[in-house]
This record gives sequence, C-alpha cells and structure tokens, in this order.
Amino acid sequence: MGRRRELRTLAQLLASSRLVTLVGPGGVGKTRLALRAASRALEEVPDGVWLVELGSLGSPALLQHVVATQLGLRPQASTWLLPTLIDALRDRELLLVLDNCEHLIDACAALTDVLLARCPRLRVLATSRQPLHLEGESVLVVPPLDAPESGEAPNAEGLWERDAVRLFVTRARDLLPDFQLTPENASAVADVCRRLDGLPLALELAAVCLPVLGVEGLCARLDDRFQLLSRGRRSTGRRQRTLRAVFDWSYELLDEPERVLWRRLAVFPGSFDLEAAEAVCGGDPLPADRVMGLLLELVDRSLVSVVPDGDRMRYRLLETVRAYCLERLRSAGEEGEIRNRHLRWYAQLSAAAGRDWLGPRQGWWLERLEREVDNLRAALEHVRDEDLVEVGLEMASDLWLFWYARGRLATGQWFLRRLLEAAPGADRSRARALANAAYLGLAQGDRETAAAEAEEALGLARAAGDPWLLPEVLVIGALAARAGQDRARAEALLREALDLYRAQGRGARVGVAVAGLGSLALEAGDDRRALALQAEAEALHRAAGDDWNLGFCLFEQGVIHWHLGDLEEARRRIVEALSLRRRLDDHRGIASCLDAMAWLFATEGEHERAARWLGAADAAWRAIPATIAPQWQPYRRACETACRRSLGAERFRRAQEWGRNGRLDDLLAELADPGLAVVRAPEHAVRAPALSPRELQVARLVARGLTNKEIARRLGISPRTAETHVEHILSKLALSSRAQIGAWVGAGEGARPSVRSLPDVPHRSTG
Amino acid sequence: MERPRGRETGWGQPGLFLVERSLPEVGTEDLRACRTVLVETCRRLARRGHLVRYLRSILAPAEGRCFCLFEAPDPETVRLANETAQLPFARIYAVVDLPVTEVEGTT
Repeated sequence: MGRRRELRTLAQLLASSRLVTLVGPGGVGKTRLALRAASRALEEVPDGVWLVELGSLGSPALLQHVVATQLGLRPQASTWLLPTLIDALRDRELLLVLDNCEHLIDACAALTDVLLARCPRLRVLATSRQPLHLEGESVLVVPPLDAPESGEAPNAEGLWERDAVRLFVTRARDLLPDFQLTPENASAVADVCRRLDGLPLALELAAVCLPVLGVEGLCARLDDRFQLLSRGRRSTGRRQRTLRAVFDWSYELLDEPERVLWRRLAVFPGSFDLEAAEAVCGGDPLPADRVMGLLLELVDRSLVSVVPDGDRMRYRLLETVRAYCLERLRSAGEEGEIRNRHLRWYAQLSAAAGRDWLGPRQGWWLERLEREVDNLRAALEHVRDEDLVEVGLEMASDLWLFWYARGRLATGQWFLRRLLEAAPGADRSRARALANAAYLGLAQGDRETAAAEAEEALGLARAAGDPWLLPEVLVIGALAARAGQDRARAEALLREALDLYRAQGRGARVGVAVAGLGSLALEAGDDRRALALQAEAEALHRAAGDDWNLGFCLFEQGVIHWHLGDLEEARRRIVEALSLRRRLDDHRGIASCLDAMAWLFATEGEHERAARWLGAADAAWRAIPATIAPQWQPYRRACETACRRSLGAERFRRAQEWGRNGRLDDLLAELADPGLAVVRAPEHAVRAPALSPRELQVARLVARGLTNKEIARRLGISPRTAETHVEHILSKLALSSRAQIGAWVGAGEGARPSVRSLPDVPHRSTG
Repeated sequence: MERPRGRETGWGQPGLFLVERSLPEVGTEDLRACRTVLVETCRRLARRGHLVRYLRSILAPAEGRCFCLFEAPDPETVRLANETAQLPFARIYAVVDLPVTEVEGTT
C-alpha cells in the first residue's frame, strides 16, 4: 500500500550503496518494504536475492548457521562457518536480505562487516530497529504511513490521498464490504489514523474491530486508551506505546479462551501447524478440541497470519505481535510451562522421525522436519529445566540423520555439545549424545575431539548395560577408529555391533554394520570380500527400504565393479545411487556419483564426456561446499590426467566448463535412464550462473534478432568483443546457432527467478 | 591467591580467560577474517558495558587446536563474546598470565 516514495529511495540506495538498513519501530512495515524492494532488484542481481529471517533466532551463535542454510550451503568440511560463507559469496554478485536484526545486532554487524569486506560484489539489505553502525551503511528510516494532520479539515477526497487512510479503509472493506469514507465519518477516520500514528499494523488491527465498534466507537476507545497512556511510562517511544495500546485493546476484545490461545502461540518462533498448536497450547483451561476454532477466530481478526505451504496450512504470528504475546504469556506466569510443552511436542516428533530413519519414510521425514526447523531449534535452545536436559539430549540425538542429510552438521553438533555441558550425569542419554556428536564431528573432519567423544561414549554405553544402545555407539566408535587409521579396532567394534544387531533382529542396522565391514575390506584392497559384504548389505537395505544407506552401498559396489573391470555393472550401480540420492536431495552423494560417472567414462575412453561430468561434479562440490572424500581423490586425479592427455589442455578445459555451467538435467538426459527423470533440483542451491551478466545481455539482444555489429553499437563495445561473447555463449550452452540462442532465451532461461524463501502471504494482502 | 596480572585497564579487576577451540585447516586470510570479527565484536560489546577484550591467539596447527586469550570480568562475558562472534569453542578456562619480568631473571 503506497510507499512509492520509499521504494524509489530504496531502489536508489540499493544501486549506490552495498549496505542499506531499513530502520523503524515495530509494525511500521520494514519487512514488507524490504521484500518489495528486493523483488524489484531481482532483475539486476545475477546471483539472486536471498532472504534470511532472524526474528525467531535466539542465540547469536547460530547466525552463520542460519545464513549458510538459507544460501543452500550444506558445509561438511569445516567447523568454522565463516570461511565457508566467504568462499561461497566471494565470487558471487547477490543481495542478502537480513530481516529483523535488532536482537542480534552485534553479531549481524560483525558478520556483515567482514562479508562485505571479503566479498566485493555482495550487497546487504537489513531491517532493524536501529542501524548496524558500519562504515558505508546507508540508513533509510521507514516512516509510518502518511496520516492526516490534526486540525486538518477532513474532507473525503483530501483524506483519500493519505496512505494511512487508504490502508484503513481497504482493510475495513475486507470485513464490511459496504464501508465507505463519507463526509459523516471522515472526521472519525482521520482521527483514528492520526492517533494510531499511521502505523500499518496498528491500523490493520484497529480495522478489525470495526464490525463490532463502528468508527465512532473506535474513536471513543482510543480516547480512553490514550488517557491511560498519558499516565504511563515516559521512557518508551510514543510509537511503541501506540502499538502497545492497540495490542492491549485487541487482547481485551478477545474472550478469555482466545486470549489464552493467542498468548500461548508466542512460543512458536516461526510458523506452526494446527496439530502443534493443539498439542502445545491446548490444556487447562483450553480443551484441545477447541483450539482449531479459536485459531481460526484469531486468523479472522488478523492476529494470526496464514502461511500456505503447498497444500498444507501453517500459521504464524508477526514478529511484533509475537513479542507482545510473549510478554502476556510471561505476565500470566505460563511461559515456562508452555515452552516445556513445545519442547516435548517437538521431541516427540523427532523421536518418531528417529524410529523411521532407516526405512522407507526417511525422505518424507526429512521434508517434514525441514519445515519445522525453526521450532526444532527453538525447542533445543530453550532447554533450561534440569529434568528436561535429558529430553533435549535425546531429541538432538534423534535428529542425527536430519543434521547429517540436510547439511546442518555444525548446528547439530552445537546443540549436542551445549546440552552435554549441562548434563554431566544422565548416563544413557549422555552416551548417545556423545556418540552422535562424534559422528557429526567425524563427518566434518574433526577427528581428535570426535575420537575422544566416541571413547567416552563407549565407556558410558558399556557401563549403562543397555544392549539396544551399545551397538549404535560401537558403530560410531568404529568410524572413529577407522578415521584414526586403526582398521583392526574398527573391524573388531563392527563385529561386536553386528553380533548384537543380529541377536536383536534389527535388519536395517545389521545392514549398516555389514556395509561398514565391506567398506573396510575395500580400503584394505580385498575387492572380492568387499563385494560379497556389500551385496549382503544391499539386500538388507532394500528389505528395510533404507535408501540413504542403500545409496552408499551401491556407490561402493560401483567402485568395486569398476576395479574388477565390469563397467556395465559399475554403471548400473552408480546410476541407481544417483537416482536415489536425487530423491533424497543428498548433495554430497550426488556430487560423488557425478565424479564416479566421470571415472567410468574415462576408463571407457570417452574422455570428452568424462571431462564434462568432472566439470559438473566440480560445480556440485562447490555448491555444497565440500570436496570429495580423501579415499576417492586418487581416482579423480587419475581421471583428470587421462582426460587431459587424451583431449589436450584446451579441449579438456572447455569440456569441463561446459559441464560446470550446464544444467544437471541436460547432463543426466544423456544417460537416458528413466530412474533419473525424477528431477527435483534442490530449491535453495546457489547454482553457478550459466552465463555472465554481460553474456546474458548479449544473448537477449541476439534473441531479438540483432547482428553482432548492432549489438556492439548498442552496448558500446567493439564488434570483435561482441563476436567473442556470442562464441562463449554458444560454447557454454552447447548450442550451434543464433536461432538456438533465441529459443533458449525464449524458454525462460533469462527469466526472473523469485526471491528465495518468500515469507508468509498475509491473510489479507497489505500491498 | 595472586591476582592475575593484566595490563592497567582501569576496569577494576579484569580476569584473564583462555578459550580453546578446534582449528580447522584455514588459510591466513580466513584466519584474519575470523580475528577481525572477534575484535569488532568485543569492541561493540565493550561499548554496551560488557568489558571484554581479545588479546591474542596461540595456534597449535599440528594438533588442530587454537587458544584465544581474553580479558573480561567473568567467563560469561567471554562466552557472550565468542557466541556473538559466532566462533565455536570447546572450553573456557580462567587463567593467570605470568610473563617473565626483568627482576626474576636475576639471582
């Protein structure tokens, strides 16, 4: 609604300054303004616009984790995230939107400072209540909407010019379609807008009361309310008091059950679903079966927003609203209890996932938990009561596959370690948490600490005498031993685990242990034995429906068959692994498979193809970011050498470029395998751009039918340069004619991407 | 009990704290970036009244460990500084720094 002037100013600032901060009180619409500006900026920003919402983040320690995740990174190679972020952003030109920085202002400022310094083409748009106070920061104070002045003669046309009035009337019409701004009510409407200081949120909430109070009644309320206000504290800003006044009055207009629900919803840091609301907020005095009706009431009153998520419905409170509700929750003395319920609910969810990890529902669970990641984080962050630390530990442990498969290794480890610090005593849970922390540590290459943790875990697990837990810890111990080059110990531990699992009849887990032994055998050079073991593991993984582990198993088999010279078998395995991993969105697994395919092609003498697949693998590794595991590196190097020798340096480089810049789907189409047609490119991945910005410009002009000479003239470059650009475009896209370039542009490659991770669509759009 | 010797800061009785963290394989540039964040963070926190100062780091690259020395009134402030700088750490020790003085060198 309106904001034309601010949008213009903002666009100018974004064009000239690398750091722009939108500043203003809560409820003034900073986030919405930032998003609108960001959407418009999409055209000019080659690597896209990325949104990171920080409102629900509790601890500054997780800031880099959240930014990395939002950028689609799944770092596994380092425990320090800053270098990873810098690497990912250094060569890219993108706009990072940091929304709601104020409670993490120091952390945001320090991070933004170093990122801007090291990543020359990065820009940042932040929203906050105060500026970041960094050099080169452009601050735009977002004013409230234009509201009538006091004493202004209220005539309907004049009033309509004011944005605040327009917003109020539009909102009112959503509820009362016949509502009109008339000479009779003009004065009252002007009054309302003025007293609410043009704050969009306040105006929306006030409009909701119209059906009950009417405009005059609204005014009368404000009179009462502001009399109270003038007796209140002087230190808080006037706008904050106004907003508070409107919240208070909205709260008072609710029935008791609605109030109870509204304030209890504050424990959800972001969005939540109905089930969660019922479980967490239901309970004396709210019967769980009333929650749905009450929630919908709150939605109608604009006190809760709706977040459509595919065909599901989720809900959330706006950040400013949530802060208010949290206060109310505290005053009612309910915060501790409801937070505990929140923890228990998500702990239950995690436990259910944990039980299903090695089975056919793993993919489904990974998606499910992804949607709830804010809640998972908040639940783990808020474990305070001593007797709940164990619940927290178990929950963090249950989420092991989520942390691993979704690239949140550092985050998972952070929670596990923090909770371990708080729980010196809880033996079984402690053993499990230590083992999982070690597991995540090993995956990040942090061998020493992980080995110590695994040792301690093993000691505790043996002492606890829990036969169900012990083998899991043994398997992780074996991983640690293997990382420390102690193969004999690794084998011994795996055998012990295997015996236990067999005795317990846990087929899926037996598969994991057998595969572990197979992996050791491969490392020791015993191909035949490795193959036999992996075949046994494969059968067990398939029986269990465990695609995750099946992928590893098939990959190893692929490598073994390759060693043994059976390329057909090798390819079959790798291709199946690739297809499984795409379905699970396993970035590291996909990259490994791309690499392996390259090695196979090279062995068959298809060096050009191999080079292309190497390039694609490169791009995939870089996007994570990670590198191929040390044990496979020699294969990659050998492959590169062979290709370079066969093709010559220039052809090799070009083929790699093609693979690096092309689309994975096109590459996979080469294999003509129906299994690979299940395509779901990960949504958040920062893909290397196919063409440079200049090349994109040239491509669009080619598509319009211009000749090289005309393009040169248009862009102010030499005809030779234009020709070179066109050559590059043809080569990068593997096309052979200008007409094809036209088709490519027409097909939408030059089309607008959208801002990643759009936030909720407000129940009624504010515009 | 000997009071830790720190520099004259006028902060009353600052303590010294050693933060231990694992040191991954990072290049000099990246290390510098992390240090910059730490320095900047401490500066900002100090302005807010959390009087913490990052003094130095000692690295043991072969062991993959890193030790950072801070001056602060208490370990909670040190924890705050490291969390705000978003650098993971394993432990915080209260320490005493005993540089050799001229006087000690003589018999």
